[in-house]
Amino acid sequence: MLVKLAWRNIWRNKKRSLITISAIFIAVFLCIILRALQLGMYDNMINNVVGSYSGYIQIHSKGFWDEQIVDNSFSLNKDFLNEIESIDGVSNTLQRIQSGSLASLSDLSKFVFVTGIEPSKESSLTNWKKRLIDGQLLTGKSKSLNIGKGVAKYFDLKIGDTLVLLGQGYQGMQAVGAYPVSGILDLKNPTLNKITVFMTLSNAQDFLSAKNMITHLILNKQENKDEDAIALNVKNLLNNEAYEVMTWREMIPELEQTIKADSAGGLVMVFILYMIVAFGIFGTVLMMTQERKYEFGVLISIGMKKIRLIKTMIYETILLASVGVFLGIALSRPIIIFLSPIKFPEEQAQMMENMGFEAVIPFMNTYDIPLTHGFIIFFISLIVCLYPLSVILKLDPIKAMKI
Amino acid sequence: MRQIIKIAWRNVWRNKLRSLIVITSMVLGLWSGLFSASMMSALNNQRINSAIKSQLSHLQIHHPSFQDNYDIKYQINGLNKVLKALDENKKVNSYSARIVLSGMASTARGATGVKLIGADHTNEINITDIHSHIVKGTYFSGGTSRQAVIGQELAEKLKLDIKKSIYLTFVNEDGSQERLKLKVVGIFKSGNSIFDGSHMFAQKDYLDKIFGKEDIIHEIALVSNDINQAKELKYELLKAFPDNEIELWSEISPELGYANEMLSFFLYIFMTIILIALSFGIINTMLMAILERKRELGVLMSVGLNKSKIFLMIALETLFISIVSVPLGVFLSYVTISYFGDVGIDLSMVEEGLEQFGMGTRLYTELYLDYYINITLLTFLLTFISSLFPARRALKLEPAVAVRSI
Repeated sequence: MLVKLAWRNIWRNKKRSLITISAIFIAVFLCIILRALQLGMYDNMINNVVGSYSGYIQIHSKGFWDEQIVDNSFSLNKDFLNEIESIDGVSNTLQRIQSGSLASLSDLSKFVFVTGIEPSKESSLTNWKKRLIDGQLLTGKSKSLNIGKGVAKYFDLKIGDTLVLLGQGYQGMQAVGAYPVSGILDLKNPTLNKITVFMTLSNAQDFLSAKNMITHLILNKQENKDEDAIALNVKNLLNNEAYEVMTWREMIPELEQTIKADSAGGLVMVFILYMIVAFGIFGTVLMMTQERKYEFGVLISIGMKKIRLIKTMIYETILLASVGVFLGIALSRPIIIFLSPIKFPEEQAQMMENMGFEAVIPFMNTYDIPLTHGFIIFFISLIVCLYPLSVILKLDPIKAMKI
Repeated sequence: MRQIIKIAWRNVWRNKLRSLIVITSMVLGLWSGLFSASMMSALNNQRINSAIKSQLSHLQIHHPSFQDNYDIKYQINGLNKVLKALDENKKVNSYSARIVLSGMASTARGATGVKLIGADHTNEINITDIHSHIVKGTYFSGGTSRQAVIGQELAEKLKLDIKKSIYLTFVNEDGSQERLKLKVVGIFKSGNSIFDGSHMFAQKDYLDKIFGKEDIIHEIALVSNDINQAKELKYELLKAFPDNEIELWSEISPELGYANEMLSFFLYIFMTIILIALSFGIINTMLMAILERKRELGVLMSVGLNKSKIFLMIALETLFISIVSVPLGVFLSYVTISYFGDVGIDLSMVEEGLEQFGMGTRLYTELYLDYYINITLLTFLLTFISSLFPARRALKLEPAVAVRSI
């Protein structure tokens, strides 16, 4: 009965209901947009910095991170790899073997990191075509090298020149080889550019006499999955004695710190937005109450119990808030899906692309953002509804009916 | 016209609760929005400043090939001319000309690759703030010239302490290996663990003696009077000395520059969202107010107040509210931002990560003047636009129906 009354009240004065709904809708909508942008920004920063080279999670043989030599490598069997790849959230895996070597060309020599990669898989991490300055990318069976542009500059080297590599191989073996350079890459990172030499994985394993051994197993995650949860699953799966599992948080603590410092500020922002939308809803409800004082007065004087009137108001608020919240969530979806990512203004975009970063802010597209914020606003609406309730409690029908 | 203004002004105060709600929400919105914007930009500036002060400086000048491999033979081209130009340039606040040696630092307990920065430490203290981050010992003092100040991580790696010796092996210009023996007098902690694990400082006089000449300079780090001038200065210098590499801090550390750009862009998005939320609050409240005042407006219309005057009256009411709240909000923001700009906000409770960052745990808020002005203008514009909706709504009332409504 009271629910019916509430329902009819809403439809009786459509304009009034519409205004209240729009106040709640706008609140939900803006909160979702702000939060999705904020989290999307962090995600993009992480993606830009770690996604392009180091990956979200790396598995090494125990002790490799502290002492990065080829002796701290491990061999990978198919079953093991399949097991890791079947962990929820892992999109794909990359194998690398890395070792420091001395590279020389005529009378120049330089310390570099020789990294054996799987060229076709590597492109899931980074668009290598975009990073190629000169020559050709490695393919499955190339016996040649791709090098960072800093290395090329140091040797003043052209495509086709041959670099001699001399390093420490697996278990004391000498690693020696001469390879032609087939491509020069801009890795968009000054340090990496200066020390990076790529060859194919099998080629590098031959060079280092480390058949089937790898130093890094890199796990890529599916979008919007939590890397810490994946890392934990991997740790549980592995024998902890033999392997170390590291997320980007441990590998690049600086980035983690930057984001931590910002997200404190980010929470303040969300809080402020809540305060403002709460005021917006309150202002609207306040005026609505004043408009309806007369009506309340009439109802009470013809004998409606205050408690029943209060119940009706609560039902009304719940109905209006649900519609508003629902609309807010529904209408934010297309924005999040179609407007994403937001592009930077031209000048800034240019600058950031020169640094090797994508000049965009994508929206974080998850379900928990709309749900959390929908609930919070719903809750705020209920709190705001206390005002009309207190007005009803104190209402003196005779006064209320005087205009 | 004057009458309408008067009526509108009185209407604002007739329903005090309503007006106060709208005014409070605007004042609070502006105040907290501006304040948090100032916090964000202060956080960002402090982080960048700490990196700039401890390692990057505003600009760095090198031989174009030097940074490829830190080869000792790639010294700055036309050193004397460059130094003279820097002395004469008014944008340059101070600079430090350094010898940079890349080599292997070793003790009996271990060895690791390091970068040794040899500088005149009386100049160096104007450029880097390493001297204020000494955790043990001193930042160069009288006595032997073979002093070294090393990073804390480096000290831990090599199990070094003050008064101990450290050896640095590097490749000399002719390809031969040289070994320096230095005495650790101080240990610093800049906050960046990678920097602290790979850098040590020594005195240029001593290195000059080793090399037997004074004009070996690999790196000039300079600080301009205003960081915003650094870009201009870079192109000025690049034009005069095209055969040297001149880099801005944001080019030396692209990650930092990237985060900076990202955040300043986000700050504008944030303020826009706040202002949109504010104006919708105003619009909805005023629209509701029109419904409440249906009867009153109907009466006014029937006694002959024409439509344009009704429109003006309602629009003015909204505008008056913002004219009261905007100055109040901006003034409040200004006061708090300057207060916390002096005193600082204690963040040690919230964020323990900050200290590792070398940022200190106090946050000193700051906000540029043009940000205040832009936001004030933007708020007025938005309230002007939002004043139109309720006013238009009022026009749609039918006097005959409105009068009868209760």
